[in-house]
Amino acid sequence: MKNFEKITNYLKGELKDGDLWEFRKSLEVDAELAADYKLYTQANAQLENKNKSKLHNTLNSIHQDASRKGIVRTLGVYKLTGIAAAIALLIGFGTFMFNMFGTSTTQQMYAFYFQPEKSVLNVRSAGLNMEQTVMQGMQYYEMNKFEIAIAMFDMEPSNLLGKLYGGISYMELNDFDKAIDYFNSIIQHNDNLFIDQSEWYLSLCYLKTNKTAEANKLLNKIATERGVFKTKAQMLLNEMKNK
Amino acid sequence: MSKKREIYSDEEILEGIRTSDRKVLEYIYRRYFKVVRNFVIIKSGSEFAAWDVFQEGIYVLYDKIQNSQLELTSTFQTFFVAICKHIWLNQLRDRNRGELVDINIGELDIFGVDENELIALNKSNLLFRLMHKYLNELSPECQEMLRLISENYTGAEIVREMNYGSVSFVYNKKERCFRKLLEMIKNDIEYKTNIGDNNEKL
Repeated sequence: MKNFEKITNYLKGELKDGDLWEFRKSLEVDAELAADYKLYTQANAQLENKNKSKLHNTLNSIHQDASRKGIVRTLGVYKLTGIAAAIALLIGFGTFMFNMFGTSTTQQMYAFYFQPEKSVLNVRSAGLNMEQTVMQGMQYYEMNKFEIAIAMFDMEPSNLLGKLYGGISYMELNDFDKAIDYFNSIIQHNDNLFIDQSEWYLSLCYLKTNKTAEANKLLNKIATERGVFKTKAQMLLNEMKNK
Repeated sequence: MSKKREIYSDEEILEGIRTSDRKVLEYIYRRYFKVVRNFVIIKSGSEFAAWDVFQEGIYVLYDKIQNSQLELTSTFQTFFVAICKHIWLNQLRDRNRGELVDINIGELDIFGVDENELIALNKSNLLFRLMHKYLNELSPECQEMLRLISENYTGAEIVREMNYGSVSFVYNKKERCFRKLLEMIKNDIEYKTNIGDNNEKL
């Protein structure tokens, strides 16, 4: 910055008489000097704003912590993907064992009962009044592009249909903590058409993450009500008892 | 069951921003960063751009709270997300990439905030963000020196703290560090695009 010394001397009060007059005049006619002067004074003021700097540092620390957790999660997904082929082989063998001995692990039960919801584009096309972004999200969901689907659903955070399919998308991505949050928010809303499905998928998330007590409690609730998942919940509870 | 999380009222959120309360800022980040990120990514942006926009949204609120000018006429969520969307759409427009995305800033309600004021705040916050970005690229000695100055240490205290020989050395050193910082900001492409070369914009 070629005007740095000049500006510093001016601000320190070290310019006298003719130099001072010339500097002030130049500020009005020299666009580069004026721009440098503004940058200098504003940056200096920002530098001395320690409260705002504290805000900046805290925000960045939060973001870095979250990003680090994100990296761990991503590595976890790759690791899971790496062993997915082995699991797929084991599932075949496990199903054989399951049929033979009539018992199964919670992971096998999850794999057996988790059948992702079909997109509503297929089953409720007539008269469907969906927000545009949720509709687009549903199209990505259909194409198994779950991350983009979630991004679209999240654009309409109050849309409970998007929330339901967002939760299922997270299940597909093996991010069960997020899926649990999504289903819980639908259930807590308490006045919508998606509570049955949310409770069912939530119970499967609990099963998958070995939260057996929570899974049991929720499945018992579903099994005693008249919802569409009543029979499945009863069957799953029986298997859990025989485990 | 998933872990219960604390919920803050809009007033508590604004107070938390004013005081840089970590718990409140974490709450805002958890709830709204994803919404902002999704919007930016869908509108041709990147994860990094989304983080910049989110920060600038918070700084806009901070500046308005400091100037006692912030009265929410909607929920915090609605207001904050609208401010962030506005920031990103303005940036897109400034980069002349409007033809790639659907930009209609006029329709985006920013709840009584004057658009010119918002643009001015955005530019001032862009400088703030760039300053912190390049502070991290200075030598550790320069970083420490500027940190002490920002915390109002006197020249004599800095001499003691950093084992320098004299106060005049401190001032010379400060000038060299500050000059380097300004040069890096001035050469930044974002600065050139949004602020530099046309001082009317600042």
